[in-house]
Amino acid sequence: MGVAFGVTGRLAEWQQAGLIDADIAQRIAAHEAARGRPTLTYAIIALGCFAIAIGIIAIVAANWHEIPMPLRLSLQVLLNLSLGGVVWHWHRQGDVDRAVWVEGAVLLLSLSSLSLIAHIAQSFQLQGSMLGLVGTWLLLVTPFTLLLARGALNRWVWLIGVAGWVMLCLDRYAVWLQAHQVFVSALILPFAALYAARAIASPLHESWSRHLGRAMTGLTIAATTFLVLILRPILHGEMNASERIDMMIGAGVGLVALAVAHLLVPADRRGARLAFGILLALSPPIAIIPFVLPTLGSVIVGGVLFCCYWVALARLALLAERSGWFRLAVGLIAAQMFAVYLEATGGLLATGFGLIVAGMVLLALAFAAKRVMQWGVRA
Amino acid sequence: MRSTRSILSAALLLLPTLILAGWAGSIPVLRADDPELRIRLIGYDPRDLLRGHYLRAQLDIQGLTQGIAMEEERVCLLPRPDDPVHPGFKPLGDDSPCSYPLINPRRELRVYQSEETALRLEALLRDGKSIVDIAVRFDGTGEISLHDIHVDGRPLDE
Repeated sequence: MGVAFGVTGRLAEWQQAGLIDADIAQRIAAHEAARGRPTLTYAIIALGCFAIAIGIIAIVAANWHEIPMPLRLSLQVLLNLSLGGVVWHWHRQGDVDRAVWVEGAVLLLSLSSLSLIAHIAQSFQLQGSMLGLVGTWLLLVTPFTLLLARGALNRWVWLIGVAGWVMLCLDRYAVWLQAHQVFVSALILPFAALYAARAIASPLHESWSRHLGRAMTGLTIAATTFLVLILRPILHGEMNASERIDMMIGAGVGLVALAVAHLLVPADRRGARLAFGILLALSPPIAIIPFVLPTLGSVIVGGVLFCCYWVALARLALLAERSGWFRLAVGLIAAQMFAVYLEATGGLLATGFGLIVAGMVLLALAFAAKRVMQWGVRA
Repeated sequence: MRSTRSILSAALLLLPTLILAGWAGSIPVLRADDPELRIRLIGYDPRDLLRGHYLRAQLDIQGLTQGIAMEEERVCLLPRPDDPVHPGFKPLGDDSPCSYPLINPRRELRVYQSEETALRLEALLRDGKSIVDIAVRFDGTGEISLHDIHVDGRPLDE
């Protein structure tokens, strides 16, 4: 008997394993055959369209300077208006089957608006900044993106745009912000504001609220982890007094801002969700304390704080039955312990004895992590 | 309710493009009367002059040392009749009137050109044998727009 692939092969395997009987296998096969699509035809059509699009782009690019500027701009304006009209028409129909097309057209309109701004600036040799470009783009596309987009791709493109704009603003006003010791506060506040925006029930769709909540909590935890686990150990030298004050103000502002943003949602004020909010609000101080302490103290205090932080996250992950987060917590705690060990032993690693000890510590950590993960699965 | 929402959606989808179209249409009209100076260009960095179709350069301002570009630096350019393509400058005060205000005078300019033209200009700027200058329009807020490159006093196309 030859090897069967695809649905047929799977059905045969499941039948042999006793998971399904012959009748069900036959019905599933008939169902799949009925909804089968001419994949090859679609692939050829897609390939043909792709080739034509690339060809058009190549011809336009090669003759870009031969096309009069008013005509170039008019064509792009027309393209954007057509995209807007199409999205409006599909959205008005409310056809669920068209949802993917609406998402795609919204994304195209959003990106084409960005390129139209750049196109105008290029055509008139305007010497604007990237900050102006991204800011204008967000100003124009945010209303229709928030109102009409539901898909993850549109949400991420918008969120990356906002994050980029915040970073460009910080870069632009860095000297002033640092002089007034509010740079770290200015870095944290926009993200706390985005986290708070998940509390807006209308007209934001729930997919946006969910996305903002997840993205901001993920970003906060990832930034805390990166700062303590990676950046602090590789940074040599200590902060000056002004930088320390800036960071401490930022830690305080971040704590309050994230706590307030978390408590804005009534469901987050109870039980494990409240505990998670407290942990989230503590993230800025935990991330900043290792930077404001002297080098030796920062290694020990930072390491302990980091482990406590992730132990608490692991506990919450267990309560929420998020085994992936639990495993991540165990792995990061092990990595942090090993980093502290490396810092503490220092020159020993240059010797053969040091390498043997390092290997044994790694093995012990791997063993401990495995045991803890098993405990997590049982729990 | 449904029709209001439909009108709102249409407005949100079409207005951004109409605003941009209006902006593009207004630029030549609004900028036509902006004060203008012709200023010599100097290469920004010979190894990195050409990226895409942009010629990257800086304005050659008399007495301004080359250094790190700073967004917060504001100057008032002062035309010099004896050397028109090398204007001088003074710090921009809040009270004194200025026809040629400029934010970030050490900024890297991006002048869009065709690939062939950009290559030619790159060579000219690198050699330093030709004088390349450009007309700079000042919008009064410190921002500028560029047009009309000259090489040795003649328009680029000639």
